[in-house]
Amino acid sequence: MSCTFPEERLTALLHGELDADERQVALDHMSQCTSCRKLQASLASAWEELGDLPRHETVSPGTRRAVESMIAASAAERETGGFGRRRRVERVPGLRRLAARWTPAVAVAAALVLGFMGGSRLSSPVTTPSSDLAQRLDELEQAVLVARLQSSDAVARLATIEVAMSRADTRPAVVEALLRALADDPSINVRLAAVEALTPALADRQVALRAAQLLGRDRSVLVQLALTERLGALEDANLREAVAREVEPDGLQPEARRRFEALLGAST
Amino acid sequence: MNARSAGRLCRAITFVAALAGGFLPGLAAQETPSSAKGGAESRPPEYAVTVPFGQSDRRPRVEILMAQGPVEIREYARDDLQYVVQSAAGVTDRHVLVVEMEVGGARILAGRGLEGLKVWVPRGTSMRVESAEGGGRIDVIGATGAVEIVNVNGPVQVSGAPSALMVNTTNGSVRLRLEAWAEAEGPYSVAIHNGSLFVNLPAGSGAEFDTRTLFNGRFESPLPHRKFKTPRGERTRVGRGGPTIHVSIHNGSVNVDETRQPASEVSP
Repeated sequence: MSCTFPEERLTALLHGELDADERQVALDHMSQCTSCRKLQASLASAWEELGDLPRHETVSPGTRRAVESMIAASAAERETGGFGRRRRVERVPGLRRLAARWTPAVAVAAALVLGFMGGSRLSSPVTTPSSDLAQRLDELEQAVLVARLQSSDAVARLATIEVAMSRADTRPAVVEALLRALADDPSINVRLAAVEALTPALADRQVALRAAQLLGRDRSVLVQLALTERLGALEDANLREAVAREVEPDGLQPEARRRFEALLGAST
Repeated sequence: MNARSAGRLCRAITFVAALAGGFLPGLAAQETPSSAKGGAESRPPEYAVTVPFGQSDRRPRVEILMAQGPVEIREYARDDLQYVVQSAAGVTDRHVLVVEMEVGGARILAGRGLEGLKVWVPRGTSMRVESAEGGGRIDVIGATGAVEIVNVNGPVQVSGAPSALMVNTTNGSVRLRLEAWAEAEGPYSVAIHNGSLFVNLPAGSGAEFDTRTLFNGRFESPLPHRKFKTPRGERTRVGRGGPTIHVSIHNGSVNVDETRQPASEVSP
């Protein structure tokens, strides 16, 4: 999402957690922002489906295992199905870990969407994974991750980045959020984690070039050194040259500059 | 009145700590935060100022923003906050400290002239301590909640079993005396520009250290440890491994050992 409106406000709006003034501000913003309307619609849709869940229906442990297996299989299918991105199969544990640290309502929503959507498909024997289910879960996960990266709690932001890091998450929305964290987050610890989490995505030329642009702007030599190490480790020589051209040399601190020259062969 | 409205009301109430210098006789030189020990001294003195927390379902949260230290924070078995403050000669405390109440927490703003601040907070409190100018010694004793510390100059010590930890210092060493480490949640991240990290683990426990961004220092430990490569870099495993501590140090080393005596018996 390109706008800067806090996405956690959107989820708070959905949950009815905003007061009248905040709610009006959020609604006014959404009336003018397409991307926020789209995200809100996606989240609202998930909630509506939760509302369809019969009260007497519960998800048994066996069903849950079956759904999780199905999601894992679906993820594996997509991993080998030419989406062009490396993905891990163990998605659900990561979501649980994030859920343990974030707004319980959204975490529960994610879990219930998983259970409900999967359960509805298990009412008759299911033998093939549902790409639709996986896609919905994927969107929900991304929304949770991206919103969480805008939390005012630095520990929560760091925990979120660790989730992305543990998965080598290179989904565009997540990478975009990580780049924003690298550019703007006031915590050095969070920016250092963002560097690490971005590492798998640096093979993408656009991501590497944007990271290089941020290198000379960060005031912390720790972040500069960490990012220099990651950019210097790029295997593509042409990309390394392009990266070297993007860096603002005046912004590099002496030790980072020396390391930059050593690793990227660039004289700044 | 809902929690949010109550929060606004409480936040609107700002207490200026208009404490006469003679009001804090016990906080003389013989009981500065840096010389405090465990045991009986861990209890607040009778003249401590009490700040009630508003009712909230969330974990209590305390934020301390200070120009300079030293600051000592301890957890205790109450649901409010207590503090004692010592200011420099000729500076009245009302010019040193401002305490803002919030629902489920408090914010302490300490300006120039602070010579000592001791704070007692409820168990499980999430705390954030940031020094804006000169910094100073920061001790967090017996932590069980999330701890975030940003310091400029001065040593930092955290003991206990913090559920998460973020420490960032410019000049000064960091000492972690960890307890109940096997149940640690995380994330744990330490970033130091100039200074070393000293970690005391509970006897028999292990840990993993992400030391990829250890630039001008070494990893040292009398405990069995080995370095190994991961898809994203290098880690150091102490003992059988355990929770991960992300470490970024520009000039300094990492020293890991077992705890020789309980943290409560050690002067910070």
